[in-house]
Amino acid sequence: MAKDSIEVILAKLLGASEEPSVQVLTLYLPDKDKDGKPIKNLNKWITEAQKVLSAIGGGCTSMAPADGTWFNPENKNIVFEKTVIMYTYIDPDLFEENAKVLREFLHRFGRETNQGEVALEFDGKFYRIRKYDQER
Amino acid sequence: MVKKVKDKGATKRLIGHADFAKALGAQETDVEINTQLDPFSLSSLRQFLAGRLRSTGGRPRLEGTLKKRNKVPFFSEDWEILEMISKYYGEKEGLRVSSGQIASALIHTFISKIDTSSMKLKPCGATFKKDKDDKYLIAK
Repeated sequence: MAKDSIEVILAKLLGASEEPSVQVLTLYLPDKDKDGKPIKNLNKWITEAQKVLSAIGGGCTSMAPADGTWFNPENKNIVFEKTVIMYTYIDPDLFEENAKVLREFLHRFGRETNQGEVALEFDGKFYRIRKYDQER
Repeated sequence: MVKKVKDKGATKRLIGHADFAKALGAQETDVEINTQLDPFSLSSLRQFLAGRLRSTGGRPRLEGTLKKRNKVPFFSEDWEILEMISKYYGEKEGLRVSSGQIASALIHTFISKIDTSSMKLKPCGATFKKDKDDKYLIAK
């Protein structure tokens, strides 16, 4: 019986200069706070997130704002928001080098924009940050 | 059957999930994401359901849905997935929601994205008249 797949070394086939990255890091930046109030200077936060992801993956891709919701467990209200989703394929060395910068950014975003939680995805799993580091 | 191409080349080393969570001070959620689908669908669906489920003594009712149950022919594989999601919410997130309620939420979400503004039809062939308060009523 013929094989149902063809095995190749894609990087070699395509002339890629290094091993491929396979782990995706995705950030979600909403335009509202946990009470549904608009975030001030959203573009500043988006630009900073793009810079951090670029440092970790050598670049990043941001998608147009998508319709998002967040259920506020404190007052049982749903916040309807526009969320910018951005992602990068991480370089493990660059991730380790910049993990502190990423952490500082995510916790500051959560704290200063009054988020109930900061959502992110890594390698097919969904993470939440609910307790923010204190300002230094 | 069309053959698949499998990449058997080496990849960069992987960062573990526990190390990732610890480095960022993040909390794992047990939510696994199939990135071939809408990456936020399971979480946003949960939020939608949690915001609309109302306790009625028995199984919580999905607020805004009709009391009358309409028959919807499901594809068997879809119904299996709906049952799987219902089980997942119940066991992992403590959210009691039926497969039918999940289907209702998904249908509602996708219908709301359809642009009906250019459809010059009256819904369900019904005709409307205004009452004394200027509200529309279905005329029988």
